[in-house]
Amino acid sequence: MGLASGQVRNMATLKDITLRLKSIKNIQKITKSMKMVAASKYARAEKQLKPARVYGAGALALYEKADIKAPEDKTAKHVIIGVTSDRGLCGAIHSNVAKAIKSEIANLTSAGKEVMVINVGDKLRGLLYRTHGEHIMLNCKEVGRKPPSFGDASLIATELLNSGYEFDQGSVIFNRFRSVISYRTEHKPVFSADTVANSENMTVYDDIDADVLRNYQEFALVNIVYLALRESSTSEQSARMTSMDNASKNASEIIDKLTLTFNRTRQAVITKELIEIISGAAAL
Amino acid sequence: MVAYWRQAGLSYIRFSTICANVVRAALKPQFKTEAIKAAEANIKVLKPKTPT
Repeated sequence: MGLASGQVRNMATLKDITLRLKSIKNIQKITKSMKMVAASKYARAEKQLKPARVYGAGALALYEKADIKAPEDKTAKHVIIGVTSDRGLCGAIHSNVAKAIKSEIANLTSAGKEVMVINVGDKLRGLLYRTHGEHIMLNCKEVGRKPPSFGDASLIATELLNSGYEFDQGSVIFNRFRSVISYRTEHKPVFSADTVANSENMTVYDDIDADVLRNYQEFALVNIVYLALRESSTSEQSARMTSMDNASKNASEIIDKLTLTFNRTRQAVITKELIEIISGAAAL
Repeated sequence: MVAYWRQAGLSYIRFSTICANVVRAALKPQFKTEAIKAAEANIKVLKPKTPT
């Protein structure tokens, strides 16, 4: 009859606990410093967000006031610009945008429309290229290291317009900053110059010719991308701040628990030695 | 009426970038360095390698 071999867990030695305690203390120092860095970057990003919102609001005002809608067309071509960044450790920022893009692609392809995606940020590329690699048109790197500038938005818009993809409409998907603890994944519309020109409400405005409209469209595209970049960067820094704060708190909890275990183990070792000494002395 | 820069092949984005650079170059020195630093673009756009 074989012995039932139960698992006997060796009580952790003092050395094991000391090692673990040291490594968790180091991790806590790192997450605390990352939180400080993210807090300072967040303060700067929030300050720069207010003027950026003016740019975006101005560009979007025409779309809202004139109520521009693309014609319901089977052959409509769509473009999706997903904006996140290159760096992780910021909570659900990247996965939220990726989820929104995936569901948007599913909706559009099931309706028979063609859609291409521009990834702003390496993390987004990593999330999308395996499953939706054939929809990716452009990738952008070096996002998130420094605060975004208008030049970045210009580059992205120029590459989109020069890529030769004749899109009719599209959307920019980004995380809009609401407050220190909350952000929301939203999308803002993007139209091509033809769509706007052929929209029914444009006849209300006079002195609009095709050239003026084309100039306005190009500039509006840059403004919308710029707004998305700024909002996304602020949301990312605030999310990184919260997640690093949580990580530091969790690390302190583990440190407290481990310190208690360490003291108990230390006392147990001392008691064991004492018992050995006493029973040894009694035997003499 | 097509603008002269559009006829030369520039887009409005390129045109406004050139105008903005000219304005920055015309600023006084202490404002110039800040403006130029604030305006530099550091994003890189790449086309994905198509597996053929």
